[in-house]
Amino acid sequence: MNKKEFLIEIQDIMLLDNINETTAIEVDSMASLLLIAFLDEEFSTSISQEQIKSIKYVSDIIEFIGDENIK
Amino acid sequence: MLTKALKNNFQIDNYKLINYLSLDNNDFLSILSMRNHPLIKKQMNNSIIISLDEHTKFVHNLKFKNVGYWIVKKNNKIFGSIYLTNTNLKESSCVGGNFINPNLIGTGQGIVINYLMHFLAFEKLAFKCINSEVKESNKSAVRINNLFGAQPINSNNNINYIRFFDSTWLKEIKPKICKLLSYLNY
Repeated sequence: MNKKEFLIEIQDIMLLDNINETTAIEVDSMASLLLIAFLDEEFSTSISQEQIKSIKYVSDIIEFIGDENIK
Repeated sequence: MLTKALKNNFQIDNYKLINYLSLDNNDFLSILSMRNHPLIKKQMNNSIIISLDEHTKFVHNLKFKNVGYWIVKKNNKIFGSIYLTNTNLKESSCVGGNFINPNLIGTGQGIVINYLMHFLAFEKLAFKCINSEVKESNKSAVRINNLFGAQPINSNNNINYIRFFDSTWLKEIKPKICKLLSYLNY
C-alpha cells in the first residue's frame, strides 16, 4: 500500500476529506474499530485502545505502523 | 406467514430477540426508560417524553399492525432494540430502525445491533429491501449505514433516506461485517 492509498483509507475511516499527515483526527468508537481492523488486515499489527487514545494526528498512525511500511 | 413472524421471538447467535408483545414487566419498563433516554431521544424524530400509559397502548396496538418490535438481550441484559415497520408484503420491503442501550453508546457495539437487524430482516424474515432514515448529524449512524452498504435515496431537512438490499447483504456486506465483529466481544 502506498501513502496515497493509505491516506484514502484513513480518510474513509475518519469520515474526513483531503487529509494529509498533519491533519488532526478524533478517533471515536466506530473509527477505532475500523482502524483496528484496517491495521490488522493491511499491516498485521495490533493496536490497543490505549494506543488509539493517544492518536492525535494522521502522522501518529504512520509512526505507529512505521513509515517504512508505506511505500 | 410474514405477518405472524413479525410477532415471533428469535435467537441469533448469543442474542435473544424478544418481541415487545412477549416482554415481562421488567423489560417492558426498561425499554420505556430507554425510549425516553435523552441520548436515544435526540436521534429520533419525536422528542416528546413517552408516558407509561402511552407506552402500554403503543405495545398493545402492535398486535394489530404489520410491524415487529424486539428488544435484544445478551446474557440477560438489554442490549438494544430493533424495529421493522411499514412492511410492504408486495415489494417485500420494510422500514428498519434500531437503538442501542444508552450505556453502550460509544463502545462500537452499534455495529452489532445493525448486524442483527439486517440478519433478522434479510435472513429470518426474508425481506428483500430495508428502507431507513438517519439524521445527517448522527455521524456514527451515517458511518455504520455506509458500512452496511446503504444506497442513498433522498435527503430532506437534514435527514438522509437510504435503502439496503438483500442481494448485496449475503455476498458483499455480511462477510465484511462478520470480520469486524470478530474484533468486538460479539
